[in-house]
Amino acid sequence: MAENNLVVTVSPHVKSPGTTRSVMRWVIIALAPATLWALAAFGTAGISVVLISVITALFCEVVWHNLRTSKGVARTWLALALSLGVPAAGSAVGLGIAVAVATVTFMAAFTFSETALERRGEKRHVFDGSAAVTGLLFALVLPPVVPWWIPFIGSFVAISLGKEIFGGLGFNVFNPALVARAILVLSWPVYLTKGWFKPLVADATSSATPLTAIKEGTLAGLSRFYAPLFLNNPGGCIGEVSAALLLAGGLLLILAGIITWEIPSTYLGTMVVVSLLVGQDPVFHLLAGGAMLGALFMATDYVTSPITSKGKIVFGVGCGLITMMLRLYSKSPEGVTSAILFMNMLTPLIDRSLNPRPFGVSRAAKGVRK
Amino acid sequence: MKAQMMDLTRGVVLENPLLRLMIGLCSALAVSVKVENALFMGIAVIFVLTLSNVVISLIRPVTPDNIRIPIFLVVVSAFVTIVDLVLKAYFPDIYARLGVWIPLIVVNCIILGRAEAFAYRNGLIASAMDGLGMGAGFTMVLVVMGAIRELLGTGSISVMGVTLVSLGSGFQAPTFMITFPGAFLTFGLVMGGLNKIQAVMAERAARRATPSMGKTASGGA
Amino acid sequence: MGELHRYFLIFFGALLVYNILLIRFIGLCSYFGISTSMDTSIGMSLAVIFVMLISSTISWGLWNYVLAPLGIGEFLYIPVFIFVIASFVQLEEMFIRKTAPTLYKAMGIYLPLITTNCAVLAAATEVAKPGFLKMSIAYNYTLPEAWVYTLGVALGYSVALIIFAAIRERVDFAPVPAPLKGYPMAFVTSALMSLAFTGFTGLFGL
Repeated sequence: MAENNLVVTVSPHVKSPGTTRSVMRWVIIALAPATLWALAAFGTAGISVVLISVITALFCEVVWHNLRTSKGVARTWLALALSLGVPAAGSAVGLGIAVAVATVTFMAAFTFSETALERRGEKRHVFDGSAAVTGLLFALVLPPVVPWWIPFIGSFVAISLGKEIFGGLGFNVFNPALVARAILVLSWPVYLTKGWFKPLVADATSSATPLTAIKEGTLAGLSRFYAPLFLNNPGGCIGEVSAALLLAGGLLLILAGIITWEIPSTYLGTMVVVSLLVGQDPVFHLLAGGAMLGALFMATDYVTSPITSKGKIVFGVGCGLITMMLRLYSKSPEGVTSAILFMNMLTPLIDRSLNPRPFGVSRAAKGVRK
Repeated sequence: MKAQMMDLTRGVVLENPLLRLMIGLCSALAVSVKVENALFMGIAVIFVLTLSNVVISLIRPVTPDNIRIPIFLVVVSAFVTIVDLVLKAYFPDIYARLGVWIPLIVVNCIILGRAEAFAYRNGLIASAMDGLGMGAGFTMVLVVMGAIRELLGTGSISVMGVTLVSLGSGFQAPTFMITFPGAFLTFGLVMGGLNKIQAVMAERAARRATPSMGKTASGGA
Repeated sequence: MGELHRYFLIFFGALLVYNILLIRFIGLCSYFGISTSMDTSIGMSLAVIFVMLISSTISWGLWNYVLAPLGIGEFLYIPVFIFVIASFVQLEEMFIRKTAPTLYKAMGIYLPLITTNCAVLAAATEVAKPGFLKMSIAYNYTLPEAWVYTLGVALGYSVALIIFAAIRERVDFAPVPAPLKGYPMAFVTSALMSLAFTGFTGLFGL
């Protein structure tokens, strides 16, 4: 069937020089300062999480690509079996680190050889950068001190469940990195909420983090956290280490035309408004948790956010509202993940309802188009 | 006799109520979190389904067509009430865990669906066989799902206090599997797995039937 | 805790935190069958809201004024509720078909389907005999609370159904792996939707 030759997308159709690879390249450049800073701050722990996550993501993408296009199916299945079976067997026996290093090296080697093989053939699909970006973003929402298999399994889940099972790039409904994070939080909550490098505590005697302290109402004078949160935050997920650098990266993306201003500004703006309304410190809420990373890099993902400008604004406001609602009134201190996933879910509906009027068609006739 | 065997086995795989006919889903997903729950629910459904199929088939001659649905419901709810009371009396913790799903067996699409589609139009033995088969198919899927979710989600499978399988204490169970999203995911993947198995079997059968076309027939993966 | 606050909690809990489809798993058969088209989803949602409100009222009344006082509630509630709802739906269908043909066209075909919709029976049972669809705050619903609860459940059903229909419109055109095409993928998608809703657990102490 000619299914794959007929491309159905929503108008308008405009051809621009941007390709997936160039977009992904910009995103990686924008994320680089914050990432490098984090790696410097967290040392080997941080480096290994990022490496494992990215390599696994690339490996996983290669596996899916091969299986989907029926290329080298046998060796791909074998590679997959090895990469999953060896760690499983190894940890049962208690071989930990050695098995981890071996598996990661194997995955890297397989990925490299498969891509080299492909370079001889058609388009270099795997290195369009999207898997690397997913791997990187996923690493950034993890705490630095976690067992090696957390980024390993998580990255597999991110690529497989978050993207490939839907049909690949462009077809997923939910943000892959956040899907993986949400599933991991439900699976191994302890690892995902405790692996801080050097927890940023509000109160030295109770070891509560600032976000939890706000909930308990035991916090006053949050301004002392501005500096660490903005510049160098040692207590949080890898991507939360420097709001300043994330902001710089985000601005870069906006200036380069990769993302538009609507989502980040409405997301963060709504958060400010809500926190002012309830009498809490807006600057703190902007800087704490994954708000910066989420608003600038996760919520703005093309595939999972609305197409139209109005839709983007609705999306941003929704994310902001849900994030604040969860932060203020629910048991868990962090709301960015759930907020973005929820709004991702609403995106097809938003796009559907806010469809731009086709040129020349009056409002009355719009009902004809289904 | 052959026809009766067909009635019995049809519901197990070919027309499996959950995976193929897509009925009875609600209870399946919620109950499959533990093999024990799945077993008891399955037995309850087999009981209710078979007996109500039999009764409905028996009272066919006296059932007016336009109020047949309420009549089916009365029959089914009678048997479900029996199950409800027996479980509450003799297996209170299972009763507590199965909760709202017991009364909901009444509107379990499988029971009403088979009553309408089969028992109302067929004889006694056939209806009984159909009930047993569908119930067995339902129970089978439920137990498989329960096994996957319980094993992966808690690291071991235990029924009535006896641990059947255990993955060892070093296994860090992904508790996602015993959550609601985990149920959806497991079910979707099990269904996909069955589809794949059937596709492969069909392909092999086709290849055996026309060996000369082998290469081209299997081209579309 | 003011009455209004309580209403808000009941409503919000029923709609989001304990969403009947994605968190409580009740009503799934229709959910998967109807969500293949947005029009049918909207139609079904309207029908469900309408039927649920009335059945819950009836079952609440029946329980509190007939079954419980007579002491036969425990073992007769299943057949009684079911019979009442089924008959009511049948009556309603005939009534609507005669008096409001346009409304019938919008939702009439779904009415018989609702008889076997677990969600309606579950909501009706819950307002009368709370406990199975446990929410941590409600233990005995007054009539207005029963309405608020039922409205929350019905809207929760509709919201999930409509969102799902919109997503399926996209997913059904995507190059999903062959064995997963169709229903399996619908389940995987629902898994992720359920994941998104799980984020609301514990909100407002629910």
